[in-house]
Amino acid sequence: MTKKDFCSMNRRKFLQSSALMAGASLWRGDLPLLAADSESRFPAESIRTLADGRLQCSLCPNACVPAEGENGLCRARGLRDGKYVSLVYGLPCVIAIDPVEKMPLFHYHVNSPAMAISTAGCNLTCQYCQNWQFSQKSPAETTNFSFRPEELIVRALDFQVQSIGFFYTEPIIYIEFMKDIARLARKSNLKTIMVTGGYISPEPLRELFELIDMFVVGFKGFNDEFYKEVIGGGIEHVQNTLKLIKGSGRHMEVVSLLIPGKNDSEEQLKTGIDWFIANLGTDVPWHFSRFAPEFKLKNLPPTPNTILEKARKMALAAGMKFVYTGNNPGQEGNHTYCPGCGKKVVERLGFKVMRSVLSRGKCPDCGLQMPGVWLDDLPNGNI
Amino acid sequence: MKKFILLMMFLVLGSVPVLKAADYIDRMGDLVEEISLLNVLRGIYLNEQQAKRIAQLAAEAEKLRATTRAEIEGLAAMPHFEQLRDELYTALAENPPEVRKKVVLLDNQAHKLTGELLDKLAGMEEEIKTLLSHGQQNIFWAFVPCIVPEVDFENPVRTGQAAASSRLMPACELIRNTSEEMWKKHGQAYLDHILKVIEQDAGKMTGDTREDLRRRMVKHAWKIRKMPEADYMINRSQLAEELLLINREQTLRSGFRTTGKLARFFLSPSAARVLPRWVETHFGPGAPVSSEPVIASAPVDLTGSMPAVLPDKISPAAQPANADQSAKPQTDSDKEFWETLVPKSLARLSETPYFDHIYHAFGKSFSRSIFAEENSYVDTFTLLKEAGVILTREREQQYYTLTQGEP
Repeated sequence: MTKKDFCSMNRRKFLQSSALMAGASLWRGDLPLLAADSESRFPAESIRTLADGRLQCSLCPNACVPAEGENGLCRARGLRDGKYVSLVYGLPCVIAIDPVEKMPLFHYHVNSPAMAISTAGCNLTCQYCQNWQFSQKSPAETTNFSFRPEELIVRALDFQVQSIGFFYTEPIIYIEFMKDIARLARKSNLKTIMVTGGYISPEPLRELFELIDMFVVGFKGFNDEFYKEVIGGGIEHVQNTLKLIKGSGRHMEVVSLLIPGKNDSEEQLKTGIDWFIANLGTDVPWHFSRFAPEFKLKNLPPTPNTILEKARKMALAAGMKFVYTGNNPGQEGNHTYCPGCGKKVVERLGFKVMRSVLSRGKCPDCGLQMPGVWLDDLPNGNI
Repeated sequence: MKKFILLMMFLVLGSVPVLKAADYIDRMGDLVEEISLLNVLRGIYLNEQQAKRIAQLAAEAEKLRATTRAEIEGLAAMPHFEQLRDELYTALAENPPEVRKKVVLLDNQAHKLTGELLDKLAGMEEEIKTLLSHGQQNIFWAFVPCIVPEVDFENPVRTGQAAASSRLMPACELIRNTSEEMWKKHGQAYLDHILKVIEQDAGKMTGDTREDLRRRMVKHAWKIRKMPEADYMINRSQLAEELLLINREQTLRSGFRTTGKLARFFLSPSAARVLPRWVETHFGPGAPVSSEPVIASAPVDLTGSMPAVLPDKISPAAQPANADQSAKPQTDSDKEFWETLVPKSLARLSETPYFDHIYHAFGKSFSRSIFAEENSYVDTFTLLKEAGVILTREREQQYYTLTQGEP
């Protein structure tokens, strides 16, 4: 079958061929059988052998070197029978149809839900994680669903979504699974979105530029102390990721959760904004989100709305064009305004798009093209 | 003289408790209104300019009410009204009291003054409408007066959060996770209980309508229970939302140009009391940076053994009125089902106040009008038709965003 044949096949044909593919792979027996509620043993990528013979994961700066039977810090990869394996390949613990605005991805085809998936584990340990029930767990501790990449694609087509989001926890920890899904998604005309904390090594990240259409990166704080204390990582790697994605030309949006007393001071905000503009420019959409007490930071209050507004105003005053506030429904900062003429071009309430006047991402009044990925030629077009 | 003093003492002593009781009930009503208003304020995120201006308008509305009250008092209508009341005990139909014409005239004057007041208040309400963003108005229209707002109103699902947003998710989970044996025993009673919640909001249904909805609910519950796990995971938000067949966004207004829901909250005497303190607390010179006080500075130490789902608070109003009658005598698991699991499953719904019932009991009429943007009355027929459309899946797929009362 040629590439052209594959792309033009109808759903019935796709289902038939998927079933054949699945059957064939089982018959060949070269792929591990997947079962829910257990670990997979899928060969892990980005593994190098150290001088002493031990295996080290080089997916992220954690650079784990687990002993036999142990897992890496992310809990999603580990050493089994002398081999470094992915424990979560084909075992998502969350599958949902979610609006892309929840990621948050605003400069994308509006009114377009995505199929979002996640596995157990994460390479960061954010003290405020709102998905800690599975991000801070290994796959053996969560309820998982057995899904091959092709099965997920079939589901996505069945639901008529236009994109697949790797979401809720750090997707880099299941890079093998993500890549296989993304390859099939590309062939099925589905867009892919990676929502990441950005704590990734450059090499595996570069490999993803071929497969992932859009990135949402959590720029969680604006200095290294915050990253070390609250996130369990380092800011330098995240900044590097942001620069690499920007350089790749892929669409990117950035989200920063502002936590009272932790990363919301005027000084920190100014540092963050200065770095952002100097390295990423003024076109990249930036979302300031409201923190709600979660996980280990239940002792802190929710972020006051005034702080979010202040951050937004500071960023706009510094020259940024698309700055949003999130988790505070009903506010002006939830909408998209044309930087050319100031017209409100997309109006939102929470994660719902109430009104959009964009046409292929262009302002109807001044014709300015908004950065983003706009799919008006697809069904479920602009509302 | 002695008789007169005794009579006075009797009247004074007798009247004190009555007055106190009346004051007490009125005060309770006022507090319920204030609680409800605060619930709106906590979900609508007014900025400083909005909060200050609305507080100003609420104070002006109070002044206008006081002026109108004084003007109506200035009509000195009371003796005429009393005279008419007294004469009606004995007046013949063919010879009605002469004072009736005067009373009608005075009533019209009072009505005119009230109408003018309402007109001014409606103008102020227009200003509030322009002050609020479109999104805030949307949140507001979906809000119902309540003591406990829906969980999702106070704490909506956030960016990046995997949680399903529906307030009915716990109910959906209970339906799905109850064992076959328990479901056979209690399932129908539980669904009937949900139907009662619907009736509380929609008004009493006819027997046929209730039976029809009951059948639909059974079918829907069957779907929830039998759906494959992965399909359930993907569809759960929608399945949950379809459980409660209520659309609260329909209502009415009438009369002169009268006021609507915005005025009912933001221009009320309660607003005049609550908003100045709200402004002082959140935007005053000594206002803390945050809206809530910091409880402690150290991070909470959580062990890895915490349950995946934290228990929700239990709502007393969700107690079943008539637990399954066929299940007697109840075993421990029956008790657990009705006393723990069922209340928990409905705990995310809002607690609307019973204050109107209390007022009824004390002989006062208290309007519990719920206004929609169109300000029309609740239309039960449309509501039930809507429910049918939802259940037969004729409505297009709706993923999470807004459930009623959810920002």
